[in-house]
Amino acid sequence: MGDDKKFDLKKVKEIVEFMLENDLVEVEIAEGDNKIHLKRPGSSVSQIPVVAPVPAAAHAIPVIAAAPGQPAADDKLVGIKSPIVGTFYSAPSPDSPPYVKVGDHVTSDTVVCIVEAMKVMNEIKAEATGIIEKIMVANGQAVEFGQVLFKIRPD
Amino acid sequence: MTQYAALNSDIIESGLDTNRIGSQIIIYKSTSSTNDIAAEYVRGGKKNDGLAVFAESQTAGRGRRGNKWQSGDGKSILCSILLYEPDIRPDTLTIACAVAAAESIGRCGRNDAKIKWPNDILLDDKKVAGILVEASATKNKKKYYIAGIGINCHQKKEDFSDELSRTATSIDIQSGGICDRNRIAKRLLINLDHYVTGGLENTGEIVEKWRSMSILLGKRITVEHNGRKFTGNCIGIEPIEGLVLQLERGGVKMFDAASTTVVKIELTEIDNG
Repeated sequence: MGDDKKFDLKKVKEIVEFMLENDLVEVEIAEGDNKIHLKRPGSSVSQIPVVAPVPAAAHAIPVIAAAPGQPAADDKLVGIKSPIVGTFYSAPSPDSPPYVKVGDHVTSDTVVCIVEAMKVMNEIKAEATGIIEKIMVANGQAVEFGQVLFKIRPD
Repeated sequence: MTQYAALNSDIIESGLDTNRIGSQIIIYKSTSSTNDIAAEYVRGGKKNDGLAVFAESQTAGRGRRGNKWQSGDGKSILCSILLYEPDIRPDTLTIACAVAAAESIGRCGRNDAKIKWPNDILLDDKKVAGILVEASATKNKKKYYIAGIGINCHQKKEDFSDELSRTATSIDIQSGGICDRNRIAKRLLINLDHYVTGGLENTGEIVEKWRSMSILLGKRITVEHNGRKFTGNCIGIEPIEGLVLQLERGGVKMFDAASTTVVKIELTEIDNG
């Protein structure tokens, strides 16, 4: 697998160079079970090509690794849920840094975000003690009652 | 428990024809301190000038000298206003807030709110509102003020401790009715806008109104200043310089707001004649 990956990356580089030389915007190469699909932004302006490997079979080309950490331990994470329907804001003002970021330690009283409902700002507290592991929603996103906003790894 | 009408930004904003104050209105259900929220908006610079932050309840409200401002859920008007690069002095803003708050309260069925130097608003000699102005500057030296205003609205006698109920009150206690917080909040913004928009030119009007509402002028009072007590007749009151007392033991002395507390006011007026 490791060798395959090296081979593939080298191959991708070669193809990209080939594409740039010939001013190609899209290339698809099938090799056994593996398939590589490369696409550059439409114009001929030479940009960094968008690499989009398309898995054609069960064992696909390894893509960019998923979130670090052990996925098996995910069930130990605790969700901070939205108590109301509203709009999620990660910071106290549009120009402020977010209340919390991944890796921050929070206690039950730590304000982690605001959810605006009916034009009223509701500060949401962590209600648990631990490390912020994942932020599940984007600033300004609409959230539902009970939707998980953050996942924390309890102490 | 009576359910009082919630603060509503639509109601407060409706027809709010102000130049500066209330440019944005943000209402929090609960927060540690509206002054802290306003401080976050300083990062946005000039565009957030005039921002008004309200909260239905506050867990760490500040009073003068770190005194805690008591605030029950949905019973007060707790408001912080951000002035970015203001053109008045912070002490002028304090008295402008005091006058604006006293006028907003006074028009709520009564017209007799008074100001106790430097930053308390009284109804029938009991405190109904307080002002705290925090002056600061950004890293790139832009001045800003945050004016925190707290008004007791729906509190009942039993909401105050025995000790506090001797000195504190609410609009509802004094009027016997139920006041409209949204209307008072709106008046507060309109009144304050009037005084603040005029900038330095309005200082004279602010000071004059403030003096006319001040309860101390002409009273025999006792103040504590740097740990010592002084008693005398209040013969002058200056928003910036402070209180002027004709001391009982002779001489006239000025007392600045920062290091002075009024500990006793005698009810009988002094005949200066």
